[in-house]
Amino acid sequence: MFVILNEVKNLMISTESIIEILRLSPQNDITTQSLIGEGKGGGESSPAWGEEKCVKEKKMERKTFNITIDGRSLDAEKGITILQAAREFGIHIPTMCYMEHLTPYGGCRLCIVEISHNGSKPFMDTSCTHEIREGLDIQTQTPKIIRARKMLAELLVAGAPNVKIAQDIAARMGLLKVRFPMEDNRCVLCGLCIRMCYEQMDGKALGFVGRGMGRKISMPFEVRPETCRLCRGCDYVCPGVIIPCRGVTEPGELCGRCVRIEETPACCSMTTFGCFCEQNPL
Amino acid sequence: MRKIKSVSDLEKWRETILSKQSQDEVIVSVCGGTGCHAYGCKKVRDQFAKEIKKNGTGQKIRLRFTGCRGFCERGPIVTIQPQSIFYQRVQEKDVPFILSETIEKGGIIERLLYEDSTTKQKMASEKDIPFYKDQHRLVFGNNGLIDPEEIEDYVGIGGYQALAKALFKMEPDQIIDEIKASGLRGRGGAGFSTGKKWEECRRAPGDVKYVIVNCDEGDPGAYMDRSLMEGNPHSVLEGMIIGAFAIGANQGFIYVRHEYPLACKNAETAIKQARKAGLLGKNILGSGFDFDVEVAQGGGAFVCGESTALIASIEGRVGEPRSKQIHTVEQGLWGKPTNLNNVETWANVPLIINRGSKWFASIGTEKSKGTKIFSLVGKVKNTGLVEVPMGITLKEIIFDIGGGQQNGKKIKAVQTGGPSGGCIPASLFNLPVDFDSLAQAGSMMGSGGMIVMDEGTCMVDVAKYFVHFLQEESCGKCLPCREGLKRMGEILDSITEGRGNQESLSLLEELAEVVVDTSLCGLGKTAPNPVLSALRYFRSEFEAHIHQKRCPAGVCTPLIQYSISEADCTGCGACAKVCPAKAIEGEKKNIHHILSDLCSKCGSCKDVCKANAVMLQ
Repeated sequence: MFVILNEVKNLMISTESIIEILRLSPQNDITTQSLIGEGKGGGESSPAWGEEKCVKEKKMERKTFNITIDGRSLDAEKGITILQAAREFGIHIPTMCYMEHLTPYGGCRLCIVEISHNGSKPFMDTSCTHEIREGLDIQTQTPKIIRARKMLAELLVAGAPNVKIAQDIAARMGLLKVRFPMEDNRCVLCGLCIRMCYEQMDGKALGFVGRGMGRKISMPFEVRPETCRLCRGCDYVCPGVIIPCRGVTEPGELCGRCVRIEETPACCSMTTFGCFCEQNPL
Repeated sequence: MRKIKSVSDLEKWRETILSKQSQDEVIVSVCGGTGCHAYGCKKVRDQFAKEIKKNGTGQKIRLRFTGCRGFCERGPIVTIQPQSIFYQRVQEKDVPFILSETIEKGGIIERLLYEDSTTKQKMASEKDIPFYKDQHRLVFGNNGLIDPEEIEDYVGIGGYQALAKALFKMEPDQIIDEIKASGLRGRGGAGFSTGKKWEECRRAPGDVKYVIVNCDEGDPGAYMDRSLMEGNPHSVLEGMIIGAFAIGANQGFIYVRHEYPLACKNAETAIKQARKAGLLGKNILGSGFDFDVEVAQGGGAFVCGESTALIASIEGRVGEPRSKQIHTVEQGLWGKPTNLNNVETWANVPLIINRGSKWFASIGTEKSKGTKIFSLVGKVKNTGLVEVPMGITLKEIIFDIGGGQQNGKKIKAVQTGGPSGGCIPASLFNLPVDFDSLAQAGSMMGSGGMIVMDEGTCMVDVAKYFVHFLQEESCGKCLPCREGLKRMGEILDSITEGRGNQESLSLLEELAEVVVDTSLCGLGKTAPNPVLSALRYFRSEFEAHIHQKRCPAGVCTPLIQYSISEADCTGCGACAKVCPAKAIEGEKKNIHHILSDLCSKCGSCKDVCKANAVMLQ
């Protein structure tokens, strides 16, 4: 997948539009893609005719940084984050609180990678917030990262087993058992609704209230403000409203059927089209 | 007070202050620190004021209400100059005696002197007391000499001389080089080189820059930043002005949590006085440098001690940290380069400028220079604030300065660095106290909390306490800190209630490591330290809770059982009298029994039994 993408990129390097298409190509994260797919239209409007020339000139002098992701040397555009660069080149990094066109939040920590700069000691940081620099060496799949992500997925699914994205992430991490007592929260505190409301809809009607375990999302003084136009942008981006494929599960249950290929041979595992395991019950 | 417009004005002002002070024949200083306030020092001071006014002893007496003197165990503390007599545990009723005996007749009141518990020797002077003898009080020593609400006191002891030197005899780069050469490292905990930080901030592009004092101290058991801010706010202010001049900032903020009302008040007073004297504001001392300071009060969230959360709080947003790929020295307060240092770091700056980097670098170890204030609390005889040179061993702090164990129970460990630090066992008490060796031992310097624990402390319970504290204080932004700490708390709860198994121990360890690796800010990254260090050094205690279902220290109530030994019980009935649960029955002069169903396991019966008949299992 990566080789093909890279070849396409090299072939078309002169054609700016293709690069644009590549950059905005569907991500291979099931949920992010399905959520973003339609929402993109509003944010990315084409420039007015008069501006086109100046935009092109800017693109001509576009600077790239040479970075290494998982041992592959890549030229990525200046100003983008590690996550964007990785996705541009077809490298999968799981995310939950990230959505294109919204400010990166760095809350779910699933997109952590190991970063080393010019041979320095590697450190962990979230790829969604870390901007690329020349000479970054990034590892996305070390045993340490995989172990950490698996634990984060376990924490996530233990808190919200009836949220599809939590089940999906847990499944993809190969999680078979949750060692913590299960709870049944719906909100995963990803803050997508707040950012959607604030940044895209100019509603400023939502915010975090409380801290630590008491943290929740609310409207000011729990009253719907006049700035809320009931656009339902919050509802649209909320991962908590999508229940797992097989419906609401009993607390304690992990879905994960879509990844157990040998058990469900007809299941379409890990495609971008979602999970059809309900058609092939165990 | 007229405005000081030049260095010669400052010198003249100092001379007038000194000549005025020399007219006082006797100076009575009452300690007004946090600990002494709790002991009722305000009443003692008011009594002194009343008596002096009433009697008018003939001599000219100046009553001074100082900041914290450090020896909080023995408060309220009163010292009398020029004889330098040190009275401890002074009560209101002692005041007339002190005035008549000591000040009029020059005698010493024996019962108010400090008595060494081992040698039973009485000591009249501060210099002889073991608690003070081994300390090196560079920053903290001035607290006893000045009234924090009087700028004249501070100028009198040589205050603002370093500022004059920095503004007129040094270039900003020279100041930064001096700080770098001194080897001063941030006293807030992480220990980053102060000079380097200043240099980065100076070099960061932009005309508008800020400096901030971090006085958002929230560690349980730590109160040195508070005491410094309360007791000597001008030294912090002076350091700040020098720093701002070196960096090129014209606006500063002192961020104090509102739970420290006296620190807020004294900082405000100091700023007002300095502004009035021309030491803040436009054209400071005629140098052409403008700088002003404001106090920003925090709401008291522990996480606001973290630099980015603190900045968010000053900006008026919710105190939440952000990713720190771009440091605050480049983009901090309102996106401008911002230099944030701890109270103690700023207070060290005038010392270095006055006495030179060479002198400062001669104190301490190779990589940690100068002194550090620790708040020594817990199960030691002499609790209080101690300032010691870096590199001193834990043993010296706990046994020589702290006086060792409190009530016959052997000291087991010391917890350094607050909730971000770890426990260091007694076997490692020869460890020199500096940034690097503490980190190597799995703890950290932190802001300087030092909680001493003895055999009556359960390490699982301590770990549980800190995890629950941080769970409350976590902002909740990132998943590992919010959910991870909650789960760690649940596991520790289950262990202390006897429901734990070997798997929960390995899960706890794995979870702790992931929280360290993946959390967003310093709070989460260091939060599992108490658990990890307790597991490293006191694993046997965890295992005793899990396998034998017993708490070796006798703290975890679900795992302990009180009973009365039939052989020893004298039938005095004292236990039955104090039992709050009415769980002890027995006739007078007959053997008593504890009804285990009713027993709330408070331990009152054990404390009160004279025959040692109450047993703990």
